[in-house]
Amino acid sequence: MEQFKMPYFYNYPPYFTLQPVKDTREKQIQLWKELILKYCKHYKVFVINLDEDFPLFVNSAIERKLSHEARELFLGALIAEGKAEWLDKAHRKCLILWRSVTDWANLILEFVKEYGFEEGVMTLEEIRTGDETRGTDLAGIDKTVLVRALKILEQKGKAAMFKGTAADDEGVKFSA
Amino acid sequence: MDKIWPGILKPVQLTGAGRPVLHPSEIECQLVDAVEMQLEAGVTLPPFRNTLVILTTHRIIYVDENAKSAGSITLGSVCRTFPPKKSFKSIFACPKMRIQLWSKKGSVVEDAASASESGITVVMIFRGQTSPDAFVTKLGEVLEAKAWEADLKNSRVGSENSLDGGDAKTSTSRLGPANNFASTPQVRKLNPAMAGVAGILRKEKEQLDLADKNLQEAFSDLNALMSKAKEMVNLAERMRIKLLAAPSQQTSTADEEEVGKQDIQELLLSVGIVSPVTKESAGALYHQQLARQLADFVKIPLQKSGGMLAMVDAYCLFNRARGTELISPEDLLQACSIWGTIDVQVAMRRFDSGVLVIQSKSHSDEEVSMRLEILVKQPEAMRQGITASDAARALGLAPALAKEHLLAAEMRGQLCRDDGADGLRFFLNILIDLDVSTAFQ
Amino acid sequence: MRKRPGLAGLQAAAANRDQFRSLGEDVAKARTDLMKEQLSVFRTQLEEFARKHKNDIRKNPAFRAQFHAMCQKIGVDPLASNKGFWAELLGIGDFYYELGVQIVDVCLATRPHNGGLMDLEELRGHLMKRRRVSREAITEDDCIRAISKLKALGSGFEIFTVGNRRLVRSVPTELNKDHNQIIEAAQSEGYVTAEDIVNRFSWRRGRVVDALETLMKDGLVMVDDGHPDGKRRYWFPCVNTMDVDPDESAGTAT
Repeated sequence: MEQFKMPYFYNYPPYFTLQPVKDTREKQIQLWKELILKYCKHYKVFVINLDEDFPLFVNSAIERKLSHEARELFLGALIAEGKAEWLDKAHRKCLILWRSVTDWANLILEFVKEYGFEEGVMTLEEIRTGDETRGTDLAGIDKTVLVRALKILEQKGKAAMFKGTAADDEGVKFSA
Repeated sequence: MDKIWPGILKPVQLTGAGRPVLHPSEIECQLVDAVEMQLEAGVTLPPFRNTLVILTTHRIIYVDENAKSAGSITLGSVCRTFPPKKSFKSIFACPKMRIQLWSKKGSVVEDAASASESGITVVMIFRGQTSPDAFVTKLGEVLEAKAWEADLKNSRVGSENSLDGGDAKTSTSRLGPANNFASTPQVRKLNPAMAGVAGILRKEKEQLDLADKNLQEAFSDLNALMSKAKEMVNLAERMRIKLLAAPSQQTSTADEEEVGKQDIQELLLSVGIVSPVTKESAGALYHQQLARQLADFVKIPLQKSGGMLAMVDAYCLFNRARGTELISPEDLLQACSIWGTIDVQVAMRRFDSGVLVIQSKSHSDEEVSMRLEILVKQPEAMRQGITASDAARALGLAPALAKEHLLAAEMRGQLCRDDGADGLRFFLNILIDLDVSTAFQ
Repeated sequence: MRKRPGLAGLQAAAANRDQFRSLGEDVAKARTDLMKEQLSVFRTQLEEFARKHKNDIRKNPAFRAQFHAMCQKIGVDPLASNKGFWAELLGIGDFYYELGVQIVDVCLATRPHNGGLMDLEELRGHLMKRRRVSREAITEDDCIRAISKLKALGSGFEIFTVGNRRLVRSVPTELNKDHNQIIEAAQSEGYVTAEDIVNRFSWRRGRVVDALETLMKDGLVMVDDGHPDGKRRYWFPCVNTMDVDPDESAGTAT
């Protein structure tokens, strides 16, 4: 995969320190929100775990990293905008919605139409890692995000999820 | 005071803050404001209204604070004074005081001896709220003390003394036994072939004994010390010179009574204010005059510290220079707050952090901001930022105060901070100008 | 001199020189001793007068100037008011103001050495030395009261407690909790290493280094890389009871 091209201010040390002055901090938060979304989209990262080091938050070239306070603040700002969600009560795992669930649902619909699955059946695992989706944006989609997108389609009557025999063997029948 | 009365008043130089420049040994004694000055019949010169009058041990100085000019009468030229009359009628009129001066051919002269007449009389009309009583009393006292005469004599003695190299024999007669305190030139005169060690020591001892005796006399009571004050100052000066000249002894013990060379040098660092403005002498004019004296005083400390001085430091330095005439922190602040209303080149400033400083007006925020901008835009600083110490060097300030400037610049959005493992560093705030929609392209 | 001196003559001259030299040294020493004694008397008297006759001295501006000149020339601090009854009771009078000025004075003089942070006890020692004549002891409480009178001059001059010590801060340094804990940890030895702090408080190393670097930047810490174990030692002049006197400090450092 092609390497993500960091913006030039990524190597500016103050970018990694929470700015105490309001105006500067607000701009800093905006820049970080944007960078997190772009970075996650590029590498198809859906979850940031605060208990683990996340490469974006550590810049070894200038020996700077974001404090925990800063990480939580930036993710919090994304959450406030509906572009991220906590996955756990402890607020350690954060789901990054660099594409909204609705957009994901639309994307699935487009795929279904384009590849002729209008009346077809697929397992969720097939959508995520199967040959059919390889090379499309759907490849590697986070399961939580996928289920939520399919639920939207269900509500529109364009898909129906069903349980398979095994617990992790779920499928979907499209009816576009 | 556009034009000083020629031949009557002598022009007086004013400091930057508008206080008269005094002679080295001249002391300010009493101040009174709102005085109108006229000349009595015979001379037709326009009166001066609303002047500030400063009585010193040597002169009566008239200051026109608006026109920033001043003139003086030397006390030596005062022939007679006529204090205000105390009568029932005078209750309703402004008190007047007449001062008759020695003169010659219509011009005031400095002493009675060279005068041919006493034809010039200055009338002072006290139009202010303050009673002139204190002024009148003090004027009587300083005329009595004749400090200007002693000064003349001393300057004569001083010059002769320096000519003969302070030889003990000749100066004894003039200055009294205090001068017997062994002085350097005698060391060279020692002739070992003529005197034994014991003899030399005995002679030394005798001289020191005399000084001892003199010390004892001078310190027997306050009046004795007052009358011998000049000699004691000279003695102190000689001791200081010798002590500073003597090689410092490494072996000496850190005895409590040990006279440290360092002590003396340290105390000498303070710039002495010979004539501090006091509540007693200035009365209602106290804070205003204090403000002016302080403005003059801080000029040099400000220069030394890059145009900014912490208020606590200024408090200490100013009080040190005033000797025993301490002022309280409240008085200091009040004096500083008057700066806004008079024409001086300094100002008080409170940073957001609560730190109070005195800064010179040339040390403006715009200039500091400009210098910081240049500093942080250097390639090195763009990569690594600047510390308070870096800013301190560039601005010529103490690091603690430089940091206040950095924080203020940060507040303005000019700088931003990096609080990484290298400690707190400041960078040009490029973040604030970034546009999120274009910054990532 | 027409005739060249012979060997004996040279020897005699040399002997004479030695004799003169030792004579000169004796005289110089005797003179210095006597002068010191006299200076000490002078100082004692001046201090005594400053204390006893302060108000009279102040009443006479011309004499006051001469008195100041004497004090300044021979290094006597003219500020030596007794505490007195009213100062003790109500905190009024000149005592605390005078002490306040002397406190700032000491802090200014020692700032290059300690970065503006000083142990209250050490400060008290300096003050006692200055007021050598008035035998009245200056207590920590006196210092605290005197410093409280300086509060009006803007933040930055204050006393704070770290562990079991009270420190006087004379420059506006921001010390956070981390810094205070590190200073506290340094009290037993006078120094700490980063490892000490990591072990003691279980902080991340970065946090420790960060705090130490800040202290260093503020001039409150001096670095010592000379120890054989290779670990950098951070020395805190403010908690070291070492005096500014070089003899004593050499003793404490070992």
